[in-house]
Amino acid sequence: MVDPSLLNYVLPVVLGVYGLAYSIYSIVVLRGPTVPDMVLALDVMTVDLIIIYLLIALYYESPMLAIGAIPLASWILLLDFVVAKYLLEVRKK
Amino acid sequence: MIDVLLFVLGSSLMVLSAVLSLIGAVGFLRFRNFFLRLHSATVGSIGGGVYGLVGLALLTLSLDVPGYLKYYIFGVAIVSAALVVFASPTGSHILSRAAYRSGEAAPRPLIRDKLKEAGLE
Amino acid sequence: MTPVIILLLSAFSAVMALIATIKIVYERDVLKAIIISGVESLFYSIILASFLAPDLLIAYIAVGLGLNSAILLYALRGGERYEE
Repeated sequence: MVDPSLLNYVLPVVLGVYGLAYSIYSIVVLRGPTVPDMVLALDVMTVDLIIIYLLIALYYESPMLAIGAIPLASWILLLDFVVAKYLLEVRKK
Repeated sequence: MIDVLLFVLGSSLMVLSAVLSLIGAVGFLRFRNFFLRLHSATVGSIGGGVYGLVGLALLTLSLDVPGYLKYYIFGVAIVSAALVVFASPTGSHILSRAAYRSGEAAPRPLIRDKLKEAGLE
Repeated sequence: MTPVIILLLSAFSAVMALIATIKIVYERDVLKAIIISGVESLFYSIILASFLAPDLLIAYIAVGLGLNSAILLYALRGGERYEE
């Protein structure tokens, strides 16, 4: 078994780089010129956010924080499907 | 012995995945239109998400913490990785098809449009 | 080192949620406004996660992100997309 205090060397590096990527994605979401750009950046930002949740849950040692990741992962497909159906429906009219 | 191996493998997968996620984020800023940004979306979600989730599951399995915490986070990471593998490419395909057919995002620097020539628009 | 990064992340999320709210008020395209309101829920959810509130987090993700966007987009099908 590995000592959990070794996490103090791994966790800040990974959390910092993921936080930087998360901030760049959140700027792209608010700025993106068209609607599909915003939805696509929102998908990738959601995937980053799942990992950030799990790292926060591992740091605080509280497993109930991790359960929010599963509805977040299933929300990706739902939003893509709803927006695509709306775009095709409006064009047909 | 196997625990040290799992820890090293998991942490190196997580660092690799964080760097890939940063590369995908820079690609979102640099590319010009929607259909080019699909490439960096793939790098950011598969390379930056699934590798990191698998690495986090391996890393959690090797720690010396109570069992409920260890197996809980392991299970959530594996289920989330399976959902992302299924959902992200499907969503990208649906979204790009709708964006092309509805004319919402125009492919602006365009040389030749073979879908329009074949009448499949 | 780690709590500083978590607190910085939640502070950045709070600032971006304020910017998103200001952008929604001045937005003329209703479809973009719905998507930005989903992003704003995402920003609030990371603040809830970093302050250890798991029950609020689960309810906020399921209702504020999934159900709200789907119902508003379904309702937008019968109306106008651009407002004057």
